[in-house]
Amino acid sequence: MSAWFVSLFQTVGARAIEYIWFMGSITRLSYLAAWRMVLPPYDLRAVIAQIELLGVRSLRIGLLTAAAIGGVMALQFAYGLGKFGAQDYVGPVVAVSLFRELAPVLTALIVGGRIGSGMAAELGSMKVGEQIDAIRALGADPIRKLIVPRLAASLIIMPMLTVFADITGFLAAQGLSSSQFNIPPLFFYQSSLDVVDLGDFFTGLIKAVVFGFLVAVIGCYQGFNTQGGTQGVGLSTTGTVELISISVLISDFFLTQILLVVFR
Amino acid sequence: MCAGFAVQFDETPVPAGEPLIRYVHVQKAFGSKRIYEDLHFDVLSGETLTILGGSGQGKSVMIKILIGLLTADTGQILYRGVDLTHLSEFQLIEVRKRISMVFQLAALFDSLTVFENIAYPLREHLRLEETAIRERVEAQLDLINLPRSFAARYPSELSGGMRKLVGLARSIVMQPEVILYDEPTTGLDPESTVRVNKLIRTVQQERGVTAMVITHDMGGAFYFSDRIAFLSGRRIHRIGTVQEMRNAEDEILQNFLRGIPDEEE
Repeated sequence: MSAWFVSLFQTVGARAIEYIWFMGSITRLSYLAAWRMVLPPYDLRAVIAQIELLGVRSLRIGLLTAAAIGGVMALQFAYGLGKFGAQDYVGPVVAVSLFRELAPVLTALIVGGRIGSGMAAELGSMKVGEQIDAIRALGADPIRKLIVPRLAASLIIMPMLTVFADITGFLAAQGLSSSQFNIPPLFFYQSSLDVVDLGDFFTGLIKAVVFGFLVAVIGCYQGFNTQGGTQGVGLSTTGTVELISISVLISDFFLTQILLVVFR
Repeated sequence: MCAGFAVQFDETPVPAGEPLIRYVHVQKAFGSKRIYEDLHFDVLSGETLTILGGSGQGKSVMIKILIGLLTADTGQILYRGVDLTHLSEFQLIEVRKRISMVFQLAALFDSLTVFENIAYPLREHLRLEETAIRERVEAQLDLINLPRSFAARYPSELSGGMRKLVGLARSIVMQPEVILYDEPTTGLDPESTVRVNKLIRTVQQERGVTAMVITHDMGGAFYFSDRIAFLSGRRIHRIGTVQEMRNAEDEILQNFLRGIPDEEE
């Protein structure tokens, strides 16, 4: 019994130390990257290249997700609210759900997972190919060269993609409500506008900025800490998707609590 | 980021044959695996010192702790009298301008062309006009006998030998005082091996740089080395000129040179 208890204690302790170490390392990396991002020199070309690489190429999947969610939401709410004779409220309910919650969270989960795993794979390959060591050996700063442009790009593109997702999801819901439930598009738009305020919009936007930060920091951290050749790159990449999903969902809970107070 | 003041080195040329780098009782371990127990030797100014030893003995670690890519657990590594083991990343920048490294897999940046790879340290450290950068990059391409038309190619379009040569060109473009070669000929065909070995010797003779070479290529080691250090038993087992090492009555060394496995390892 005591041997079993010692073994359990050791396992839990080792996991706890591992977790504390991970949290400490990722917090330190976040601090170092954020500090370098605000201090000159600024490499705008690298940031634009990352926006093109990460953002523009993620637009299609982001918009497709938003359109699908907007359409499904319209279908579900039109059906559900119809039971209470409240189909007129489909527009406002869909808009508030999209702006405050679904657009930022689903964009972060689907597009963010794609972006973060891409960062982990690229930086992980550089790590196992000694390219990150080469940057240091050449007297340059790998955090400034590799992480700062990705972090800056992620902070810019996640809110942008969220706004695009807001618009696309809303238009999809509007179109579907019109074609399947005979809700006039202008009424859908006007009723939504009467209920949705800037607080709803900014709630989603602030979440998107936080998620953008998490996506980039986790992706880059995983890439920089890749070990063990190509197999290690694979493990880093899949681990990144998992970590981003968990971080986004947990932080969303706390952000929602805080932002409900701020934008009440 | 800017931890500590910029490190200052004495600019007086170190006479050939005098110690430029000193490893003083260096110890290093990875977890429970001890790599060095007492690494203690000098690298002399202007010489090419080759480090020989079996796989997993920590040969690459030896050059990585010199430029701060890894840290020593205890002991000192002195370069021009300055202990490098406690320098911050910011302070190490000055060291890395003076001591460059050629990586085992060349470690070229995949997203940059050959030209941009070689120009990388110039853009990082010097404020040069584009024409001056071009001149210096082309001079390196000429030195490694790579046609200038290759400047626009990406690393993925080069053979293994060419990648190593470009890696070497990138390392010498800042005209360092010391070059560290990490298995420069591993994985190359015999023709490329000879080409790289000749280049190591040419760079040493024409530019008078000090070099440390990690290699498994005995032919190359005997060709370009001034001295050879044999790493065994977690320390420098023996160090001497090529002739001294060849003639040494040392069973462990001779077994290694003849390719007979060491049963203790």
